[in-house]
Amino acid sequence: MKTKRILSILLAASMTAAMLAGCGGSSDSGSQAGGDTKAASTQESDGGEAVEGYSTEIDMEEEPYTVAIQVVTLPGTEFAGEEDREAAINAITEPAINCKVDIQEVWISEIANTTSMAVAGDEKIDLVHVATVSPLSSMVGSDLLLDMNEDNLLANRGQDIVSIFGDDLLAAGNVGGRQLAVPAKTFNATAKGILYNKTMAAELGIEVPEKLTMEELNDILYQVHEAAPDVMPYYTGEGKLNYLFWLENYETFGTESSYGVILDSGKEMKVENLYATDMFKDYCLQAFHWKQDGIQPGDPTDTNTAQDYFNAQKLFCAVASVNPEQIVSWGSNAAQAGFEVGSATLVDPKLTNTAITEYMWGIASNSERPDKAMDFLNFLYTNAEVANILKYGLDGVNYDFAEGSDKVIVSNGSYIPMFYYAGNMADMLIQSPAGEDYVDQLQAMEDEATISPVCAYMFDDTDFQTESSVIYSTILEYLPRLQCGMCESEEATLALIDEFNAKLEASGINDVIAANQEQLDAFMSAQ
Amino acid sequence: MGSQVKVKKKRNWKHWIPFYMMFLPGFAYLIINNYMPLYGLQLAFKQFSYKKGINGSPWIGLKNFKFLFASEDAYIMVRNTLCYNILWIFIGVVLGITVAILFNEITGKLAKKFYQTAILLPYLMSMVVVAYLVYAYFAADTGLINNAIIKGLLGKEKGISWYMEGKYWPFILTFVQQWKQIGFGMLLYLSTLLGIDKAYYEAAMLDGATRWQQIRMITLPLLKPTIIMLVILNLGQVFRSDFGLFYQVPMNQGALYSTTQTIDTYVFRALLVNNNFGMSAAASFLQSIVGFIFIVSANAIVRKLDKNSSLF
Repeated sequence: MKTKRILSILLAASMTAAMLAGCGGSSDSGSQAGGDTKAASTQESDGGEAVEGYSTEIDMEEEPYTVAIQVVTLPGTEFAGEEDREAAINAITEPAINCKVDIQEVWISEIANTTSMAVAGDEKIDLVHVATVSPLSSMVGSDLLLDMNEDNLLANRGQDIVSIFGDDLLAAGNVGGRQLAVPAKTFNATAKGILYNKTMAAELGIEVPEKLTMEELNDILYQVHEAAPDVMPYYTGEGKLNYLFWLENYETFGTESSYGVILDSGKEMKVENLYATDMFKDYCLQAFHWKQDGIQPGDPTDTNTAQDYFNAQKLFCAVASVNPEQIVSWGSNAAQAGFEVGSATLVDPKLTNTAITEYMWGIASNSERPDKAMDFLNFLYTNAEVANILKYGLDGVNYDFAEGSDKVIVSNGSYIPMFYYAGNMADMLIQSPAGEDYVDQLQAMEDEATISPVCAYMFDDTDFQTESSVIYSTILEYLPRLQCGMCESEEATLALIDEFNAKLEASGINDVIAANQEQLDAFMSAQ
Repeated sequence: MGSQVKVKKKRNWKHWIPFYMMFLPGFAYLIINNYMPLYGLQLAFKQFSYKKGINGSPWIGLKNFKFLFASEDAYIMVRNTLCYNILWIFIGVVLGITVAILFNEITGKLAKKFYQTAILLPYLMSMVVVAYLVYAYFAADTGLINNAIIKGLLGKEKGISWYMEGKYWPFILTFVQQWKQIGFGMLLYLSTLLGIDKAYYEAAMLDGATRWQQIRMITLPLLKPTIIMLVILNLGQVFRSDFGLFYQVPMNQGALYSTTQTIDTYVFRALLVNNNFGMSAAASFLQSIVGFIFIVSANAIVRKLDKNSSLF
């Protein structure tokens, strides 16, 4: 009887524990990094020059390897013709670099989960979409990504990537000496400010200058409210994204500045808590008044996006990165709705770490053949034809050329992988409504931009996983209320900011900022 | 004599084969779904590396558990998780039995079908749909409660910002949880009620027992084993929470965290960016251990009071 009872207790214990312990069965095989063509030590290239690590030559005799690449799309989309696109790419890549492609379409909402489950489950995955949703730093501690410096993988097999991006930009994907990712976009500079309904502004007789200060923006918003009370002048949605980022010049670290900010990298390399600054205090008070005066609805339960309201012409302006790409993207939606988009900048064009690391490429640590993955990625930046197929689909199937142009295409909407970026944009096709001068515009912004001295710096948060999770949870608790101006008075707003900061400090934000400062100082002195 | 016993034993063994065959799929499911993942529990004590796999990742002691208690909110989320669950187990039993007994009294076939469908419908609804139904009632500007009752009936100038004030949410969540779960919660009680021999009631009626006396003296005592079993099983879940209810229904509003933050919603929010397997495994492990302690303790108490009613 006693044995039976003990047995039943043990069974109950195991079953209870098992209920949520299904944490996947990662195999212990781990990575087989290297593959067949990985050089064990030193090899000689054709020229007789000694080469460390991977061979610089592609083995064209072996069986072609299939590289799996993630193509990130809008949730809910599924594009037909994937096999045709793969076949078209294979026809080019097989004779050129002896590899084939396996396109893995992933929704942006699923990307973090899909990637981690695929790597943990040792599924077929090679080229990984990095950042956009979760920052590169969040992938550091877990060895999800392969170090591209290992056996000189990047130097030996990604030579074109190295020459296109240069050491400065590549360093943005280097965390603690490990090259975990490379930038995806070849034009990264951007200004920040607002995109507004130009047609509405003209109808209301409101003049919006190309460059704005916060005070001028404030005036314009009140003018809009007075002239068109039914239109929302400003909208912060659920308030979970810090919109101040698009209105001020600071540079941020971690999700919603959870690892601090540098207010002005041109003056002082000091990392500080954004939420304890006067700038944030002023913004929250401003948000409070905007809510009181009907400038913003201030309803954090509203799950509609700014784009939804903007396209429906219920919102006058939205904060955004102001660059040719964004203007075209917002402009094409607006054109369908029958209005024109204008832009005004509050922050001059700049090349920052945030911009560079928004879209990156990494190689999964369980990739069977990292060298082939790198070959394919490298090829994407030299062969515009392959890059075009992945970005725009097939000519005559997914798009047609605009009349009189061999560069500008008009998509028929059957293939638009919204979050996919790879290839040298200077050589690739241009999607209408952008015109032939699109690349020149991108280049002009790049030339005009100042380069942040910390654009290549990435905080290694491996030792701060606990703090990171608690800080972010705290930000989610307070930021929406403050940004939506939900407090009853100015005093209540200030009191809530104090409470917010007290909780952030208790969550360890000061320790994280101190560590960030230390790493930044080391980075700066190594420059 | 000896050969007779042998023959009997052989027949017995063969007799059970079909039953074991029927047991096999369920057993395989149990092994694959509930026992094999136990191997992954070690993740709670390791710094998981995708490269090194589960076995190769380094041990880090209890570090993964730290984040659960690093926040000032640790007390709030533990308090909320435990209090809501214990309260709802109690209310669930009382309401479940009451509704089951009331159902049992319905004699009309059509009425029975109608009420059963009506009461089960919320259970089948997605929590996202429920969240928007609740929003339709409680939205500050457009909600039915503010417009029809507070401003309309009570004539007040300003409605209540329901999604800004945590103090209302223990009541709202309790109401929503019971409304959604009661249809399913009462089914087990109803099935037990249907199994009670009608002869008991006939005998009681002949002795002049009233309806209430029949319920008190016959129905409730015969429901006791079911009540005890369900309470003990529910206690195993006392450290877990219905994620949809606590996350979707309050629309994930920071202002409501003091009364809506539970362990599951905290873990989700905290690991939204990190995607850390070790930390999520740690949270799960802790929930399982606490659930196990509750089950064993509750069963021990029941065994002490009434040996026949205990689960094991």
